[in-house]
Amino acid sequence: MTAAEAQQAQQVTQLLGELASGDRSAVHRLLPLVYAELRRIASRRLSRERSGHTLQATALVHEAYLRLVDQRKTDWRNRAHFFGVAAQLMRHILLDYAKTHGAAKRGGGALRVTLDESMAVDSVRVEELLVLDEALSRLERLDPQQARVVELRYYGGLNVQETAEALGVSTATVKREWAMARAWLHAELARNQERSA
Amino acid sequence: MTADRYQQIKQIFQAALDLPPGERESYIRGAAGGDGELLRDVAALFRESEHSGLVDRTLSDILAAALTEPNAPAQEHAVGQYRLSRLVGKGGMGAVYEGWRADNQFRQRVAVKLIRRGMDSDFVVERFRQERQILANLNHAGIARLLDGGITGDGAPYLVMEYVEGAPIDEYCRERRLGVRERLRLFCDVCRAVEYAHQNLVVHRDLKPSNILVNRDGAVKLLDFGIAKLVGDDEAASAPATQTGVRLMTPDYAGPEQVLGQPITTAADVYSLGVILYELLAGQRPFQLENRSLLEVQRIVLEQEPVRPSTAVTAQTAVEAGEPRPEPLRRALSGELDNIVLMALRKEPERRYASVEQLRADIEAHLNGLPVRAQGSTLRYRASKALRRHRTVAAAAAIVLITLVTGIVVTTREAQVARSERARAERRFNDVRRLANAFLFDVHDSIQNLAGSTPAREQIVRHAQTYLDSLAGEAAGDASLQRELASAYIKLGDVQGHPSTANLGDLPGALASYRRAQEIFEAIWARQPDDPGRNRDASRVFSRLGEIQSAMGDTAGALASHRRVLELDQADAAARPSDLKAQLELASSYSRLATTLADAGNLGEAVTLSRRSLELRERLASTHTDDAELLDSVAVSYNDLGVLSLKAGATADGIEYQKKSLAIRERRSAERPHDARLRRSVAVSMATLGDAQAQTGDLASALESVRKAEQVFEALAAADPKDSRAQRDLALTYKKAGDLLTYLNRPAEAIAVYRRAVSIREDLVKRDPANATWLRDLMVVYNDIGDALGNPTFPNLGDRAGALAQYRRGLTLAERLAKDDAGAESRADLWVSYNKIGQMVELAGDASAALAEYKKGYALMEALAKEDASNTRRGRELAISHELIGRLLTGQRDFDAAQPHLEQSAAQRERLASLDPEDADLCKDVALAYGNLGDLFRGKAERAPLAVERRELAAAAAGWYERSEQEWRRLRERKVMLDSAHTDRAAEIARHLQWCRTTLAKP
Repeated sequence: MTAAEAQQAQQVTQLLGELASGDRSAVHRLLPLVYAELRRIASRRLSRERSGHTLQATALVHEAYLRLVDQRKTDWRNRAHFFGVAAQLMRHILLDYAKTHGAAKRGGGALRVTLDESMAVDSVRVEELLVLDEALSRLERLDPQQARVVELRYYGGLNVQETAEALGVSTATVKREWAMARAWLHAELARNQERSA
Repeated sequence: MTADRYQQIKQIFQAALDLPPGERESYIRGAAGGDGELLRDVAALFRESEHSGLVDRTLSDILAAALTEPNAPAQEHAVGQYRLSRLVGKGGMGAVYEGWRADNQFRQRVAVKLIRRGMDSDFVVERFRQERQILANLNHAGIARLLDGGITGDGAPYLVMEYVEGAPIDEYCRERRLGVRERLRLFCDVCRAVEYAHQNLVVHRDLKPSNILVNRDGAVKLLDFGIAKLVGDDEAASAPATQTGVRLMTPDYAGPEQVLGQPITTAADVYSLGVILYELLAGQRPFQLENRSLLEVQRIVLEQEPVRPSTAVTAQTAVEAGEPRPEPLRRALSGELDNIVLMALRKEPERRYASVEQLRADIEAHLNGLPVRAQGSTLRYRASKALRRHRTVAAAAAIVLITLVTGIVVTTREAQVARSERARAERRFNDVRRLANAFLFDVHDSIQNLAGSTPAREQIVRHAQTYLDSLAGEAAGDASLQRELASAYIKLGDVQGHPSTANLGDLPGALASYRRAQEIFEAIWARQPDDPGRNRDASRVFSRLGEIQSAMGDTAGALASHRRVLELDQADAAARPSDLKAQLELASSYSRLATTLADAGNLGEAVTLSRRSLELRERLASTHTDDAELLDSVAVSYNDLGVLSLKAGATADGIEYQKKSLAIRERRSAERPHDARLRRSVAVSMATLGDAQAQTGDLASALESVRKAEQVFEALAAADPKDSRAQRDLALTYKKAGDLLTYLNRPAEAIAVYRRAVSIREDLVKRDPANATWLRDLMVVYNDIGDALGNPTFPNLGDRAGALAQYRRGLTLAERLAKDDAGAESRADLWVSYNKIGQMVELAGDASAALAEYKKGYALMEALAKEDASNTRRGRELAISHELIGRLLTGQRDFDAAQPHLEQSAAQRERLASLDPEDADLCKDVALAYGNLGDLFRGKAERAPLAVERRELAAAAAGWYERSEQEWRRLRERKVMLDSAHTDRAAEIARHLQWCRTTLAKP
């Protein structure tokens, strides 16, 4: 770890501490740091693996955590907060991407990609993502805890255990909430598909 | 759904989830009570939970895209100096934002393009930087300017471009219901922008309507020029077919070579323009490629012939083009426009239009009702094809073409014999006329700047002129034909001997051609006194006549011609203040007259006019930033002014001007490395800068500059041995190198390079014995060799007889020149010869013969200095004459006769040095003059019979020597390099001063 990285880790750890002690404004200072790290990790991975690259949300967030948080000075609550922030961020990043790409429908539905669009994503899934996000926003109003579970698991890539830790609930609760939220979201997506079909 | 309802569902769902699957249904029914909807909702959730689809699906691709795309304005407000305000679009390569220059000095709206791809290797970044530089130099009203660019903190390259508002060209045409002609005109504007980029060796590669915006005023702006190449790595650009899935290309506008991943040239842009034109005219693209597999796309683009645009027109197309029915539109397109579009769309790049310019020329020809190239004109097609194939062997192309034309002319004459075939004859007549003009303009101009093409050009022009001559005889009353003929003569004259283009050095031939052009024009004007082109045509002819007259040594004639041109151009420029051409002509006029004036010895007026030219050209270049050639003319002006300043003795100005000129030219040549004309201009600038450096005494830098120039000139002269100008350039550079080597006391090397110059120049004089410029050049280099041979500081080389022989050769030429032309420069040359011979004779011991030579020179120079009193160079030369005579007489102990000359010399030099105290040469002159006076008084003192008188004279001598010594000391303090003659002289003066002091110390 370079001096700059160490300094950053210290900063992130401190912000997580502030967050744990109830200072919500720390999120706003934390977001850009985490975001930058996620991007660095992503582009590093993609340039290393020129073809057939995969980016798992789980792996990304975990790598960011390892890089950004000073492991010796942190406890499980910091970890939970970090993943909470990271998951929110992931959701935001994806939503933003989906919005701009979903908005740019091209060629009357035909899939047209250009020469240099090496990382273009098929627009159907982008659309799906958008619909998912909208459904998740609705879920937030109906059941905030379920929405959090989805956010952590889906966007943050956390497993049941980690999600339970982050939310301070039992793993059984996470499993139940996850099962229902997932089913509900599926139903919402299916309905959306029917509408557009 | 409400939150309460959701909680109700949740309670039942989660409770049921804890039960074994078999018991769930009965539980749910019970828990729902009679609420059928609740039952259905819970049941639906269970059904959904059985298949795990979406949520477990990996988001890999989307994540990759989202995280590597510079696409999060919430997190990134600024890129470089630019603040991003909103997302305006998504291109193939990234996102485009509206941005503002972030510093508050001025608000500039820009488009910031963030490019998505990992740019991590140094190589890629470096190439990105280089390419960006090339694009930044694209400076055209029709091209969105690249303003800035760089790499963001997280490694994404970005480009900052001019913000362009407007609609894509297809949308613009549709929405405004533009008719065919309006669409064509708009399209021509697009072509012009592309042509400009091609001239700068930039290929767009991704031309499509969405990259061509038209603003409210109908002005066209092209986006993303060359950017496809800039950001695409070779793999992506060349092998799209090997990738499946996402790495496809937009095939709609890509030509066969692009689809195949072959190297991309300007022909690819011609093809893309063809598709766009097709779409603008027919309302749809030539091929329907949507939803096709890559293989299908390849097959179609490579094999399928497009339907003629006129056939593809639909009723909808017609409505969009403002026509109620499709038939008129079909009629408008069928024939020429079909041919034009299909020629642009040919599968083989070499069968398309050779350039965008040709495509546009055809469209314009169509618009003007002239015959188009694409219309089955196999002859022109074959001709242009031959030319393209043999571009580097232009002579071969020329011969092919000449053969083609000869065939036609024969046919013409035969055809005219048969009256019944009159119509056919007329057609032939027009064919020949068109071909002759094609020769003169298309073919000739296309090889004009190609090294090695001079003889081919002469053949081309001469043939064209012969054909036009024969046609003109048959149609004497046809003014436009007569005008073409006059233009042909002008062009012929240019090739024969126009000094500012590559030419054959045939001055009398050029003069005759220009005179013939003048006669033809005068005949036209006699019939049409109000001919609107009269001023311009007259100026064209007289400016050339003037240049030839200058070159032939007819200074008075040249001055008269150029003054006439200036009047004509001033009138023309005043009449058309917004016409760029007219303004440029005026600037050239100032320059030409300035040069002629300088030759005639009138440097004061020359500098004034040259400044006027520079001011005008700079103004034009700053207001027409899209025209890079204007910069060339600014460089010319700086160069002219630099040369004139040097001639007038203002060396510091001279260096500054030359450096400015060189900087502009190097930039231009780097943009177009194969352009011989630009290469020459760089070399000329280097050499001239060397002159300026030499004049300030920086001989090492000067030699370096000249040697650099020499290399370029050698390459250019070798490429075209028949081009007399290239030969002249090279000889001149050798001469300069020789001069510098002489100053640096390396006479053996100097003589070697001078001899190279002599052999070139003797050859040139043999080719054209009447050419004054070449005679003078030869004379100068004879003198130079004489100097080096007779150099007395090197006893082994001190070949006085040899030197004298060279000087006498020089004198013969100088006398010949002065007889033909009594201008100041010719007489000054004669002065040089007299002095040189005098010096050599003096060294040989014949003082009276030497004095006679010096006096001839003095008489000449006294008259010249009176004629042009403001000319410091003349003053300096006059001081030299005084010095030569005074020193010789001092040596003869004729002190009374010597004294006024030496005093005159010192006074003259003091005056000159006070005008420009920075000029070391002038200070050296003063030091020498004081030393001469010291010698004079010391001589007198030695001869003085009385001790009192002797002491008095010794005191006077000591006074002069002290002043001289002081001057030398100052020069040393200024770190001015002194050659050995000067240091010896300074040491001698110090010794003499010692003698004076000893004499004075004696009782």
